[in-house]
Amino acid sequence: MIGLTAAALLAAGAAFLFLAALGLVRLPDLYNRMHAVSKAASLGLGLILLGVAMHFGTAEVALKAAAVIVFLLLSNPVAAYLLARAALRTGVPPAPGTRFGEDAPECRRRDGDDESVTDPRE
Amino acid sequence: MRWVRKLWFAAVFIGFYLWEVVASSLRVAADIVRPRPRISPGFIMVPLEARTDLEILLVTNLISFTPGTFSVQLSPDNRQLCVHTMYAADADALARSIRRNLERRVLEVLR
Amino acid sequence: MSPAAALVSAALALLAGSLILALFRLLRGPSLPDRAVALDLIGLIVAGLAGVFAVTSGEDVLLDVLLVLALFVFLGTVAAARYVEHGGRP
Repeated sequence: MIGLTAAALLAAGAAFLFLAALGLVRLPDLYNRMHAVSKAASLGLGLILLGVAMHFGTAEVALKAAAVIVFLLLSNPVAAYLLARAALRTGVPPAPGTRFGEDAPECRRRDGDDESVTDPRE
Repeated sequence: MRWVRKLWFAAVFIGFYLWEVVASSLRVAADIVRPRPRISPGFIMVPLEARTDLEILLVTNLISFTPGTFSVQLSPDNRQLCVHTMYAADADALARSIRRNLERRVLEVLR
Repeated sequence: MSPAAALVSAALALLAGSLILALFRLLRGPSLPDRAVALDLIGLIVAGLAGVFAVTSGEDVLLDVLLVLALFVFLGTVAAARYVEHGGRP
């Protein structure tokens, strides 16, 4: 027998995952799509985990669910950061109309082309 | 006394941050289901006050976890952060709000 | 059908729909990081399916499946980011 609260949490989590997938298909470029995926998806999985923990109601399951939630909170921003940086450096084009702030060239600079590195020929 | 103050700042910060996450989640969700998304994406530079590794880690991760903004790259001297946002119509106001609200509160708790 | 069972069915339907949408982005691309993001999402959706199945079947072992999937999805994204950064060479 499944409790109503647990079922509602599962459905809400699935709805967030669906929203993430919809954003992945509809938004104009990679960077915008990553907004949808990295946040909505981890929120959705977190809700599903809450529902699972509520359904079983044992300490063991609750502990595992909590571990996964903490791991998601830590890993998702890091993964998004790595992928966005790699995409920007290899020149994945932003959607037309994307604004660049005043110091935007800084966004594209790699650690390697620091001016402080002197040219050996000089 | 120091700890009481920090605890209070931490509580205020958690409340503020949860509200921020909920509000901007709804905004992003609305733009995903809207027939023509009303977004104006852009990259902005945010000057950082955070200095130690822990401060920078927390600030960048918290920015990334707010829907609508995520950190893309740190400048080589760790003083500036490149942030991608879905709502860059008023870039200066956004950068200011990240510094004044999010970063300042994180530093209040940590320092 | 009880309301709870209906909600669980709705969750399964939503997850199936999102798998199809993510698969579309995986096939369509256009760039390598786009596909990496799609794979990331597919992994998380499958983890969500494991969670829902854990509830419907009453087997809490499926939660371990979910845990391992979540870990591997993160590793996969990090590996993909490195792969992209090195210009498509491992």
